[in-house]
Amino acid sequence: MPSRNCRYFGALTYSVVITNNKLEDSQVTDLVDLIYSHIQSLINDGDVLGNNFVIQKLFSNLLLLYSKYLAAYPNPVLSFAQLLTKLSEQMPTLLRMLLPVQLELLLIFFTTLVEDSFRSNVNSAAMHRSIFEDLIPRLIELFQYLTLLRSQGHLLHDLTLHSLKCLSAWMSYIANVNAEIRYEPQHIRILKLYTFLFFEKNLNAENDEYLDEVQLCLHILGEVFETNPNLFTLDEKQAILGLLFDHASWGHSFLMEILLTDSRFEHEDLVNAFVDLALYVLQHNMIRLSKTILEPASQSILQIAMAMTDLDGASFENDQVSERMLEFWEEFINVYIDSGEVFETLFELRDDAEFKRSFEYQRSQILQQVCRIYWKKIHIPAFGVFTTVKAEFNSYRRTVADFFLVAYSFLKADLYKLLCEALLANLKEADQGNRCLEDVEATLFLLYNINDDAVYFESQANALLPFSSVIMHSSMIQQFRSLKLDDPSNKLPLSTFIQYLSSNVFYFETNEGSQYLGSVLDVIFLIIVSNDSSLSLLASKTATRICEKCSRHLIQFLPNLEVIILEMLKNYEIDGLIRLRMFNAYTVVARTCTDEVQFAEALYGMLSQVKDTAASLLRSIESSCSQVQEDYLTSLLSCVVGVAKGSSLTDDITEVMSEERSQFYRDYWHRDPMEIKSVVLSIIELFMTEAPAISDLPIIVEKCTLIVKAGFGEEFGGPFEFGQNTVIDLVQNMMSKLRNPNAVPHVFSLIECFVGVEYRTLDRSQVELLSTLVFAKNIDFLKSDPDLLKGAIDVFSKIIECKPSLIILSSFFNSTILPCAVDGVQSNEQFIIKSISKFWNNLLNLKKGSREDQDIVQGLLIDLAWGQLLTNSLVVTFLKAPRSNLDHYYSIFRSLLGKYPVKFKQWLVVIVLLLEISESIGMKERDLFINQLVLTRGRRAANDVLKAFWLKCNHLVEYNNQNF
Amino acid sequence: MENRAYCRQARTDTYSNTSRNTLYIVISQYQPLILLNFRPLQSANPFFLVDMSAPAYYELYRRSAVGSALADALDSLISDEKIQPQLAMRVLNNFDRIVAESLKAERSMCKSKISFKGDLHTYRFCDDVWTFIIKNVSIKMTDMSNNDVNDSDIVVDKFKIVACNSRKSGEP
Repeated sequence: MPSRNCRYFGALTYSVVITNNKLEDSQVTDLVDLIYSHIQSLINDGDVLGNNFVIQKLFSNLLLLYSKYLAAYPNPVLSFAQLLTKLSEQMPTLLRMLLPVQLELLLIFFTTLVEDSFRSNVNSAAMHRSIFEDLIPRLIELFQYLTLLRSQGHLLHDLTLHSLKCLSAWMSYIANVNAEIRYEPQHIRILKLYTFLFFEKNLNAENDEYLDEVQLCLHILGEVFETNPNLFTLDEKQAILGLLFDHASWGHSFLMEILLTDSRFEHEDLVNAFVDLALYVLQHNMIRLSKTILEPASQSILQIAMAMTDLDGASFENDQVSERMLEFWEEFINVYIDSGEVFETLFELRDDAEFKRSFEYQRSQILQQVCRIYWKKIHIPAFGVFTTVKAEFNSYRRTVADFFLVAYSFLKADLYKLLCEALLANLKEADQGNRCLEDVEATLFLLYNINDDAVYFESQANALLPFSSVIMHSSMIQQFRSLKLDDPSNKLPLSTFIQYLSSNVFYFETNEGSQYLGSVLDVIFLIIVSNDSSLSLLASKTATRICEKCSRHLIQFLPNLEVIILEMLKNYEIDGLIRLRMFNAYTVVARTCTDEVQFAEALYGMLSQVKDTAASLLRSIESSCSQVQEDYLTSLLSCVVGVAKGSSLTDDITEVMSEERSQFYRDYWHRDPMEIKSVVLSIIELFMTEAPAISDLPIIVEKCTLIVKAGFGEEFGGPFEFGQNTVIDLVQNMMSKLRNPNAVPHVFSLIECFVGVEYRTLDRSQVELLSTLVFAKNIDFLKSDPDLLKGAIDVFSKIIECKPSLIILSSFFNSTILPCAVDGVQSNEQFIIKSISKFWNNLLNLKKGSREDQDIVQGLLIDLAWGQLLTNSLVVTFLKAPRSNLDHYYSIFRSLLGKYPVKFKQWLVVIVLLLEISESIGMKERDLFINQLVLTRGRRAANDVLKAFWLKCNHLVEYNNQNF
Repeated sequence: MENRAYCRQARTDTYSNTSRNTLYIVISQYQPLILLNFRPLQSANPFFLVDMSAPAYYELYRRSAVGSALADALDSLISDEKIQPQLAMRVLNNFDRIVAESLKAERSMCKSKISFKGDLHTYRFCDDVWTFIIKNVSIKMTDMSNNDVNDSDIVVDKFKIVACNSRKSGEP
């Protein structure tokens, strides 16, 4: 006997033949007969189960034949049933002749038919019509027969499962199809009734076979309800609602015997199927339900929904149902938010104040009850459990927080008040020595999420101020201050507390709230200096936020803050990011001083300390430094970056500055009596030149450039505004010393930023000086690394974008930059192609170019032949480029076409006609391509023409059908 | 102030990146950076019939880095006459399906969330695809998989979202 694998490959060979050949009708008939004979022989082997995968492959072949040759093989099911029975009768007669194993095969055939049809995405209208006219009636006949068998108790469990799997596949197809054929509820009445049969008898929670069948039925109904509920009539929808939610219904038994008991853990899939269907049905009835909350029927449904939400009491573990129910409750609230007019009309029609009052009270009660359930569920589990379910727990409570945001958007202050009252009550209990940290934490978690979300709007922030006041007036800070920082079980409560404080900044900003800043910062700094790095980081972020937002109230704390930051500067153990944040926070507070001298003194204090500390450490380092030293030195430089960023004036400050004050500020920093700028420059000098062990490190170069960048664009100058010539000197110095290719791009980025901000006042001589000293002198070095070349191209691209006249007249541009840019087109690296593409687009379009600039560029492209060279390089590279790079070339073609249509056509003709590409692309096709491309005049359609030509030249096909 | 755009919940499926001051989500014509796949903000009409002539899965993940690399690799195989173009199309169809299924929320593979607020500049709903352009956006990203209590926040000038229904038509 041939092996099954051999047989499978035989069946697979048929698939290849059918897929790759066009068959005559007679060949189709012969092939069908041949496949039938194989199926028959496999059945006759007696091991249908073992041969199942071969039989299914043969079934797939029959479907392929059916989908390709509808006329020659019009009704596969009937002919298959005839094959099984060896009779030529109609379906109802044939069905009665089938043995159970044959009936099972017929069901598998039916299932394979529709599943393969889905999988292969068969979408011809003729096929859908044929299914509707030829197959669905047979399916109905089959299920009529199965219904009869079931009602007589003759349907075996295996057959039942096969029938339901078959039905599931078909219902999925019917619910989704939207060709010329549309299915109406009456077309599939028998199919739906078949599923209802399974709910006729009482639930038997002990009978696993029955539960397997019911699970499939629930899945089928759920899928149709979700995808296309209009396949149910109103009566059927009502029947399903009753089935699930009526008192003493099947659903009620299910709830009592499985869902609300531990049995649900044994039947997870079944429970999911039930919950899915229940959710779809509830969502379908959402508007009606939300309008009738005073009616007993609706109240009963909502009570069941509530019970499904509150599974397992307070625990969240193994509770997927309550998470799923969030969808329902969110939508329930959204109905009240989005359909306000509907309810206004409802109240007007009733014209009954008592009805309105009762309705609103009931609605509020329902939502508050749901909120209470979820509040309980987000309590931190016992520490031992928590460590094992951290990710799930965090994910769950985030989802619950999202629900509370929706609830807050409807209930507003009522909900916030409820949470506040709960918090205060718990804090009071804690004062009396009772441990209720979990309650407090859960409430704070929700409050900070609501704060974060709501205070974005000023009116909401104002509404929440009284609540924040009450909370801050309580013993909360003392309670959290008393928690042991080294106890891991306190980590989550402390992080929630810190985040609450951060979200409460809107209150600390006020005069009333500012009185708590001292105690708040006190506890925050206590956490910052703790040994828990993630808590310290979080606390430092909160401290920075508070300092930024409440800086005007914090000036009095400057001396205390100074002590803290200087301590942090000396302490090697402190995380670099925390040190940076604290320097930044201190600077932001100091900047708020109206006295520039005081600000300058604060800056001098910090910067001179940084300089002295760095200098002393650098002196002790000879040839190389340890990783710890390197990290510390980098952190010192980062602190200067933090100071630089904190020193810049925000728009809020500059907008309210008087003319006199701004003039004073400008003059003061121009004079810079405390020589802050010199100190900053000496720090850069120290790191860049006096420390060979670290001066070539990319991170050091990056930080130095960030310090300089921070002063760019300051409207009134400032301590980090050095002037153009100083910056140019600095860049030149850096480039003369740097030989680490990974560090140089940071310098280029500095130049790019410098040009972007200063281009209005820069002159050609300065740019030429920069070009010569930075680029021309280092050209061989730059060409040695693609990253460097990209950086250089980006700089020139920026100059052209901002003020082309600064560079296009330079001889260096013609002699060096343009050759590099043409060569760059041929690059393989995507990041270079991107930069090159931007460069050429900027040069061709010259958006900020004057008439004179346009003439110069035209001269370069036409008279000096750069246009032809670019086109040659572009076309050759484009045709060889991988598909993923094509997008970057399109824009260059389009810019050339848009700006120089006539010339570009000439350039194109020269190169396209000479191209050494596939012989299949003849001269006629090349001409056609040129003409089509030129016709687009550089519009978006050019992309399609270019893509089509690229596909043709490379013998490839377009893969995508959709555009986004 | 309160007419600001606001979308609370979106599941980031792959990766995020910022480009200057603009953060793009999913597929922009020019720069695919983040791919999003989330349910519509408000549930659409529950009765929506599906066009069977459309492919079963969205092709939007083909513009991700891994999708582009796959297309390039398939091109090479076709050019070397190792495979037929039809097979390449099948591979890409499978890619669409597998990526979409793997990133489904219920698979719990993707635990990151972002929330964002800003000014809604443009919105449209066309062919079952939502597009939003939001300006002055503050974005909060939470990675729940690593349990870090530190969220990361970024501020961008412009934020583009292209969102498709995660239950695409024809999906089994």
